[in-house]
Amino acid sequence: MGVRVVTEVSGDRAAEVLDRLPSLWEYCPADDLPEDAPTVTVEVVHVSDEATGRAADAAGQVSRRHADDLLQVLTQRITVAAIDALAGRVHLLHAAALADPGTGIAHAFVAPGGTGKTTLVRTLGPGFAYVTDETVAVADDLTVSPYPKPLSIRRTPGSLLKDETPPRALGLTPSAGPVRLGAVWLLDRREDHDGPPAVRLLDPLDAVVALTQQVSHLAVMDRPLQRLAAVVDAVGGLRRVTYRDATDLRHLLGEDAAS
Amino acid sequence: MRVRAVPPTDRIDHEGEAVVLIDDQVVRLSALATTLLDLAATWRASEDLTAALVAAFGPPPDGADPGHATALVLEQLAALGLLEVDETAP
Repeated sequence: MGVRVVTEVSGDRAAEVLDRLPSLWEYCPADDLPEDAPTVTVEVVHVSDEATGRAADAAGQVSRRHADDLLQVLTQRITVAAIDALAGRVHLLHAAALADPGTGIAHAFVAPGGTGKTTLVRTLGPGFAYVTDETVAVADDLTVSPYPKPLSIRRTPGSLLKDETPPRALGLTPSAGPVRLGAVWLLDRREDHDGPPAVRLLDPLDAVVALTQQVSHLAVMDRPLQRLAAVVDAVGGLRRVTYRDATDLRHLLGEDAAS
Repeated sequence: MRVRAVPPTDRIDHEGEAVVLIDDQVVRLSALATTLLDLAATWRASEDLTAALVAAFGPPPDGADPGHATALVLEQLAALGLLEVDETAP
């Protein structure tokens, strides 16, 4: 996303976390970042002693009894830290995004948490460049800073517990070159929807209002409404897509919404 | 009573309607509310605004009193922080 996140892991069980971080975050290398990239630090404590772990958690460090739970919370904490570091610099949409591996043109699928972003990426991602399943950081010129983070996959259907999963394990590949926003969709997943996805172009003002509900740090940005409206206009408007299964959305990725 | 619009942090317009950002909240404004705020760029008596709105949009539906209908809109806009109200003015 353009932020250097330093993860400091300590405790007698630190190795359980450190062993898994490289594969989980394989697609988010810090090597390519410019020297002056914003830098934030997230502290992790993984210990056998539960009281020590609880104290660390209360002090703002990331600590959980089980490594799987810890890794999931760590991903969330890293995301929040990176988003906070970018506040006011770029538009931060709560969205999944996949890009054409050849052109780098990305489709962003805006939706609140828990409403289908990760499922969409898992379902449609193989064959496209995985940009993110969480946050699309896009500049006014439509340049997207990819955030191909680990994916939180529910252990069993309906379970509250999730496991952090390396993108590679799901057949996902990162973008090889620059990524540019080409289309923005507003996801509206409904269990009772029948038939093919229903697509509706939103009024320009409704589009901005809808996006502002899924943007982080809106008020920190200078002229956020005008700039968001310009992004929407540049990609041909915001389209709400009502659907039931992510597989039904595959054809959207082949469309040029701006045409 | 007289009122004056409070400049929002940001605003976009489309076909007579608007969306504004004020105090971290995003508000979608109807054409009537947008017109009213534009008319109140400087201090305006509520009676003047009522007359201007009736001229632009016609009388309120269902035979409602125009002055009362305008007062309700002014109250809503003031509650959102988009208008300041001077109750001391005649």
